Amino acid sequence: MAVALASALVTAVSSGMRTGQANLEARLERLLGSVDARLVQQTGAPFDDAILREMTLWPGVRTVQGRLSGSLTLIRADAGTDGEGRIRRTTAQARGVDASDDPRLKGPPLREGRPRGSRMEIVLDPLSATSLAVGVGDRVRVTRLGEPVDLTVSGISDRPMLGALQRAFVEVDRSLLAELSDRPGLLTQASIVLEPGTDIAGWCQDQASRVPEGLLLEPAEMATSGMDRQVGAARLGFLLACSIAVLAGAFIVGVGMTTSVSELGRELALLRCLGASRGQLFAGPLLAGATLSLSAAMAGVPLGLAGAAAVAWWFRQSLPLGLVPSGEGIALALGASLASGVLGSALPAWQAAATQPLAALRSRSRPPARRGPWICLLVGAALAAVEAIIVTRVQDPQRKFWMHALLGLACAHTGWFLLCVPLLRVVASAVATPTSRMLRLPPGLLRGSVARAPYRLGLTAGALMMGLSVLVTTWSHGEGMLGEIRSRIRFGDAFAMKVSGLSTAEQAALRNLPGVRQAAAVGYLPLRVGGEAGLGIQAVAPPGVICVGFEPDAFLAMNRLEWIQGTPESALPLLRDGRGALVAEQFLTARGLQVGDRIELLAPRSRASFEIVGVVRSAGLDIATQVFGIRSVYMEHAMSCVFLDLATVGRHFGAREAVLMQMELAPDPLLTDDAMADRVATAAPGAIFASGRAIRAAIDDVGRLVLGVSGAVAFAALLVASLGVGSVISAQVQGRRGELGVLRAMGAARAPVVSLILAEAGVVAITAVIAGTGLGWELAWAGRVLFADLAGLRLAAIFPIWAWLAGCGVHTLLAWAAAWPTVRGLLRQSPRELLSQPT
Amino acid sequence: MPPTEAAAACGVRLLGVRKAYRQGDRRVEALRGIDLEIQGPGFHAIMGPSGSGKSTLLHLLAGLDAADEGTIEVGGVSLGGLDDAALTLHRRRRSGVIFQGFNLLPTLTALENVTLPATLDGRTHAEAAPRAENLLRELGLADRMTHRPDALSGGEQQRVAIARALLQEPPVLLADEPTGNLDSQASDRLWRLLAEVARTRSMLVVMVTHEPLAAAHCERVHVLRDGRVAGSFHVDGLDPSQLALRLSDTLRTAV
Ligand SMILES: Nc1ncnc2c1ncn2[C@@H]1O[C@H](COP(=O)(O)OP(=O)(O)OP(=O)(O)O)[C@@H](O)[C@H]1O
Ligand SMILES: [Mg+2]
Repeated sequence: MAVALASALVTAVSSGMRTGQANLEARLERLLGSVDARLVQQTGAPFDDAILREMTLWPGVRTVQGRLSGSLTLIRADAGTDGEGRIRRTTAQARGVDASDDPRLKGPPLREGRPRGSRMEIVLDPLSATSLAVGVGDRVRVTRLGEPVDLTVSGISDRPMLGALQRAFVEVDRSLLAELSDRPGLLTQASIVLEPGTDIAGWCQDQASRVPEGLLLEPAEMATSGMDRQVGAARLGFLLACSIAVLAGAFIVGVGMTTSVSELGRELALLRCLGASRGQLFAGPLLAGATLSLSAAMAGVPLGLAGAAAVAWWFRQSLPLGLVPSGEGIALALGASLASGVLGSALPAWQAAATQPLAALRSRSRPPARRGPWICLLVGAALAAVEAIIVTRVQDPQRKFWMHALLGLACAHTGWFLLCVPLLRVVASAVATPTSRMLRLPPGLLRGSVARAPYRLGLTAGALMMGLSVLVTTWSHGEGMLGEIRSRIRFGDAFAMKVSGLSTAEQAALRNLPGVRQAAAVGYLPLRVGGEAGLGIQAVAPPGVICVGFEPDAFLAMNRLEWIQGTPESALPLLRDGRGALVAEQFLTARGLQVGDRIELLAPRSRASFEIVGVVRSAGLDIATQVFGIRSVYMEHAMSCVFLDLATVGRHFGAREAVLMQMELAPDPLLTDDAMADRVATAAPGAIFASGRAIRAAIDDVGRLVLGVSGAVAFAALLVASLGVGSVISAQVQGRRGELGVLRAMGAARAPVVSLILAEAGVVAITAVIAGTGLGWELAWAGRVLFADLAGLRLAAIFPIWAWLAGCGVHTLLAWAAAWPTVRGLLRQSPRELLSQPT
Repeated sequence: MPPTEAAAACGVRLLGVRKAYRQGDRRVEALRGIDLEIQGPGFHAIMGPSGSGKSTLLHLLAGLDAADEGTIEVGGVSLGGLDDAALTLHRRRRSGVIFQGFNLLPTLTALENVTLPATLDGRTHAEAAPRAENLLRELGLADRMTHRPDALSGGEQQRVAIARALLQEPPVLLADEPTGNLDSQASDRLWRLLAEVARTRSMLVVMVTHEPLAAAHCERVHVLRDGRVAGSFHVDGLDPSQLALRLSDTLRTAV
């Protein structure tokens, strides 16, 4: 029973985590693209595709894919018309890509149909499919100057629909697009997938010298937005969760086996009296343990899979890939069950074989050695400390990870497992007096029964603890990641954008719209860098930059800037009074500048110089502009940006128009995105509205997925662990029947007797709660250190108080529920029946 | 005091008592109509062959189990119509039991074991302790009070059990083969003790036993056979061998 549940636990946790991780990656890739880095022309113009072959030879490169962007005008091949007799037509942004075997370059996830197979096929997005009213298998015609070309729709992509700003988007073969747009042998972007684990920003810097003049190598959104770290952390989390689940399973099985075999103890002793050899005695339970645990594990694996499938079903909306069973997890579950079954039965078997036959028969309960709990305390604390030492003292992150996974986790589990023995005594003493007073039973009864079986009860608590520790660890990490993701995606609730620029009057009108609490205008102005920096210490740095004018205070209120150098305190005053400029990270490296240096910016008729006061990155804005496609229009190259106060830009260069307004909206349920779009259109004719809330919801959904899946998995683990330990608890209650009979014979009513047993199970549960919290928190801390070291992801130390409370409640209730059937059975019996078994 | 009143205060009376055990689908009739009245105070023995229903009878008197049929009165109170709570009170206050296996709680000290019925009755250990200490002293256990059962000899454990049974001053003390696990010397001491308890505390002590040696300490022997009362006789100075003869006579004539 315990074995089956333990292997179910391992399977469920591993498959659940695997599912969560795989789906998280898929979701993020869909949102942010799956490539690590890209090579583009500074000006956005196409360049020769001969470089592709060369790039595949660069170190660290896994795959390079050529891409060409352009636009295609499509009509239906059957020249179908809409209700009013007009020919259905759409002009879509087109991406031509090279065919690739790399799974990360497989193209967009599809809602319908299959990926493109031949050169004459096209993948539409829902927008273009709707406006053409075509489906998979239909033919569309590309209209152009020459002969029209017909293409077959092989699939429709599953692209999030994010409002008016989106343009229709189709994908075709690159050579076809090149031919259709008369740009043979050219590409606009080389997408690069690197070997797993490469530091992308570092790689881009290292390869900069190989990049031909005029071209720019830059990290893609996944990296600039920091989401690659989420993915890395999720992968790590998966590994850690599996190891923890395996350990937890092993302990539950071990404790379960120990009880079932120690019930055999007297039988074994009798066999010894009748002349069985030690070897015979030893082999029997071992074999039994092995077969029992293996067959139970066979039953547990499907159970665990079913559990994980249930979780996947529950979150089906957020899980594009559905359930991803974990092969390693299943193998681990079987292996760990077998090993712990054998080990768990070895101890009692060895005990039975080692004792003198008569002593074994006679001795019922020798009081255990007083030193035992103290030894457990010392050894347990030492082992728990080993884990802490590994995490804090080992320097090399890789080495730390493996020492943690192979040694530290095992030490921490064993340590806390042993700590349960002394802890149980402390809890029992603390609980004994008040409960006894309440139940009118001698306090010695509760304390004594705990003192008599400190190991059995203590180790039961130890097994029960595992579930809660898994809960605390995964939930703490999940909430930490959710917080991380949330803080990354701070940007305005609404965006208004106008290609020709929003005049100051329009800006004011937008600012004063009802429902708008705060607005920040952003302007883009192409400038040139003058002076020495303009010539470039490194010749690759072009003189052109995009000057981004923004309103520092309003912008910072709505967005999170990551300060790579400098601090807001020192930078903001200089920005406000127009003396300072912020720059993107690559800008500095490309030009060999530092914070504190000055740059001179040139417009056709004016020039001004600024002090560099900070280096920043805005992950949230990166994500938003990427998803809206604003990036490709205005800030293709984030690293060539200089950020200035908008008023300063106006003063020096005369440009007061904004292309983008970010707005913070009052929380008003009536202020829907549609209503807001109308107001924007009235306030600033020609401006396009885009919803920040929609994109935030889409990303938030990813975060909730992390928390939801890890939480569900953790709760499942808790349930399974409690059930697995339940059999042990009920065996213990059964063993106390004689004592209960005495109490009843002496005139104890039913209620206090029941309460006594429940209090005892409660003491075990409380011990498990304390130890589980301790272990879980230690593992959560260790996990955070590893995430920071290995994935560069700094998670907040969040104690999941509500989940923890729920976990404690479930824990105690399940311990009681496990004891209950036995208690009820005992209650039905008369005192005489209870007494008919020796105490 | 007229005998009937004394019987009402500390005697037991059974009328047409039947009790059957179910074992799977087999029914074992342990008691098949017991009519028995024992008037207290005094020291009485119940004897009979193995399986004749002695323990069953004692358990019914102690309120550890319920009869299928018939009426049972202990100390003038009928156990027939009692609900669970009232039966619990009966066990707590109106009967003391001692068993062959002592049945002390292993996790409590001797003193705590003795005060247990008082604690169950809502008094604190401290309130009950002086009386319990007195009892243990009277039974010769003055220096054993803080020992746990596994540190006591069998005779000592059984005396602790007697002290526990006496704490609440019940009208009857019931003993089921109390010396079954004791050597002859300890057994003899225990029988004398029970006789003394019956005399000095004017209570009814009913002891189930196989041993004529034990019965020789009693006033009267009641003989059970096949779940019925086969007869009873006064001990009146019979020596153990004479007593054994009387016993087999009673069993034979009852056929
Ligand atoms: N729990 C039980 N389930 C089934 N049958 C029982 C049970 N207890 C006693 N019996 C049966 O009831 C009958 C009377 O048993 P009881 O224990 O009262 O006898 P006894 O006179 O005490 O015997 P002994 O001298 O051996 O102790 C016996 O036939 C016995 O087998
Ligand atoms: Mg008997």
